Amino acid sequence: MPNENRMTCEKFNRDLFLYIDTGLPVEQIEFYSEHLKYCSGCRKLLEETEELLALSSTALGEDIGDAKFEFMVSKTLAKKQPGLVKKFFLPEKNKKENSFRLGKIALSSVLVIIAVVVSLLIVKPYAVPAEITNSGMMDWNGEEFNLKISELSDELNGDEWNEEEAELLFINERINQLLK
Amino acid sequence: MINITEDNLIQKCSKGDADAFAPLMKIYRQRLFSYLFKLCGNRITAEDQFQETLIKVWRAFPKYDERNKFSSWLFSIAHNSAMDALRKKNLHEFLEYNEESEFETGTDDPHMELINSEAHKIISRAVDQLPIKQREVFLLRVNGEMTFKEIAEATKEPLNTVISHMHYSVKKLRKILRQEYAE
Repeated sequence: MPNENRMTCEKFNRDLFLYIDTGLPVEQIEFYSEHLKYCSGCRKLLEETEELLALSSTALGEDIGDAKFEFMVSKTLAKKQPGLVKKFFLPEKNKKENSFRLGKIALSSVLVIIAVVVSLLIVKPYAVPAEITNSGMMDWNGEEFNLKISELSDELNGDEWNEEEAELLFINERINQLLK
Repeated sequence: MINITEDNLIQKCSKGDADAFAPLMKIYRQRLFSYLFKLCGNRITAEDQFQETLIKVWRAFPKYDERNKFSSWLFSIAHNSAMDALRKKNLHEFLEYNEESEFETGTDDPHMELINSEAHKIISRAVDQLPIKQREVFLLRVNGEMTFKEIAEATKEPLNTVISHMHYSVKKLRKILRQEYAE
């Protein structure tokens, strides 16, 4: 019996804080409560611990003061919430959160690359299809352009004008001869 | 007169009502500052961390899950904020902190007289002597009124480790108190 008691006392000592917290199963709490009724040692341990915790909570009662508290609250409420973009990329003080931020940046970069690739692949409704520009199917316009270009180049070269002038000169000469 | 309960204030803050923030934080003001003061070891760092905590709590309020205990949520934020700040500072210097308590003396205020009592001074000094992990758990239990399960979640330590820290801290405090009273 004394051995059994000692074991219970050791267990109670180990579970003391969970007993105070009522963080144990109901049966366990009931068992220890029963044990405490006749074990003065465990009862004393429990009372002393509870007393120490109660004393500590009042002993450690520091205060910041009304003026500072009011000032800090108003400063807190005056502070703007960071914007969505800033929130997303803002460097965090926490190391883990910082690596999470790098992940966010990497993810954003990948999304931008995907967007660029997709925009290049998508057929634009008003764009000239590639097969048309590549296979010379622009002849409907091209011929017209070519004609105008050759006319202009002829004009610039002056060949056609020279021929006409020569013909006119020839006709003029013939008329003069006939008149003679 | 309308009795504005803590729950009402929490609900209002969750909805972004700035008027409810000061009265709500006033409820926890002393406990929160005491915790930060004892954890950080000096008033200046504690005040900085108090301000940081207020900002973080207000910003995080829209995400607060009302199923969780508010005090545990509040002290978890304060704890993480203070530990980050302390990690940035020279932790070694912080661990060796053994400053004299800053309690005022010679006041007519009966409350202050109670605080200034010998036992309180001894406990305050004894807590300063605890190693950081033990002090952390002890203060979260005493000031934060958190359960050990909640402390384990906040500190990201296993429950057994947290309880073990508490055992050691209480044992040390008891030893220091016995020595002080024996002298």
